[in-house]
Amino acid sequence: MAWFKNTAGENAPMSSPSFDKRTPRETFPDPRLAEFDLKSPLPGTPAAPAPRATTTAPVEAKPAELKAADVKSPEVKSADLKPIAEPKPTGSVFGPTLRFKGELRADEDFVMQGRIEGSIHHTQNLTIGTDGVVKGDSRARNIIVDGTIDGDLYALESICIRPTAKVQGNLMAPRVSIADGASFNGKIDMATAARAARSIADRQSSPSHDSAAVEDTVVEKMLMGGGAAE
Amino acid sequence: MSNPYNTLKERTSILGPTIKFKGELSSEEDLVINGKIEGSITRTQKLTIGREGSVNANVEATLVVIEGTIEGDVRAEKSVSVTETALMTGNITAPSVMIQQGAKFNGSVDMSDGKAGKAPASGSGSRATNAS
Repeated sequence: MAWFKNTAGENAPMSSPSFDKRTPRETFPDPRLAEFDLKSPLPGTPAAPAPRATTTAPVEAKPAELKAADVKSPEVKSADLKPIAEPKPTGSVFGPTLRFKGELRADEDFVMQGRIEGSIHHTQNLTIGTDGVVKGDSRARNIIVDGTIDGDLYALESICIRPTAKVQGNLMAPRVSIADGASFNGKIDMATAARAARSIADRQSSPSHDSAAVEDTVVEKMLMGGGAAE
Repeated sequence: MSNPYNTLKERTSILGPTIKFKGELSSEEDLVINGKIEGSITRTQKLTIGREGSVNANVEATLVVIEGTIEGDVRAEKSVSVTETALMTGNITAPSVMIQQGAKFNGSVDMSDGKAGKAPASGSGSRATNAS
């Protein structure tokens, strides 16, 4: 990549101070790489770009920098969101012809593709699949919704409403994500949920110390359901 | 968006050991129960009550395999197998019944009718068969 270095030397006045010192780029979507490609008139033929680049560079430098910033921002954003938005569905699957009527309790991950009328008390990751229909309240650590919910959702950690979901009810969780395309009607309460989740975590870490949680009992009940004590 | 879980192909639902369910459960696919069910199970194809499974319910299915604990009546369209690890209290109504040696079974078996349509008690009294 000798041409790269040459150009940098000729463009020294308008390139950033760190430009020369910088080590060879490690990754392709380096913002400064985008800047550089814009400056060179023939990015496809790197053999002889240097002479012309010097004349056009001063004008193009600024828009190129803007471009570079634009390139970078969505990348960072998606990386930040990924762990929240896409938890992987795991565990067993309840098939689409399954019908539950009553109260379901579980401590293991599952994907609900069937239909349940009643409540779900779950302590791990609950996924309502694309074919899943829930009429009633659901409680879990993490809830992922691809299907249809008619009822409230309470999660200790997060709720993720994905594009195919239809939700009619309230959400209560410290973290909530609703994807574009999802239909949602209801309220979201993150503040109370975060407080409750914290106090529950505190109590679980030190079982003897339960006096502090008294004020949050109502909230905890909402999060953990009636049978929270067990 | 297509179904991300491909469950339409996997026709078996497995209810794991931590699952407790109280109420009515019905399904038109194969079902394996390793958890705890109270209430009733209807319209299943093949129902397997696993070794860890504990069912306190009346069960209706095409085919029933019992490896765990069940308290309640079982009615099958085709057959019922009670394996050696089973612990069963209740009546069986099915055209074909298999009870393996070692199984604990208390109740009656009714094979009189090919169609498992009648309640076991209402028929010809109890043809009490106790295998243990």
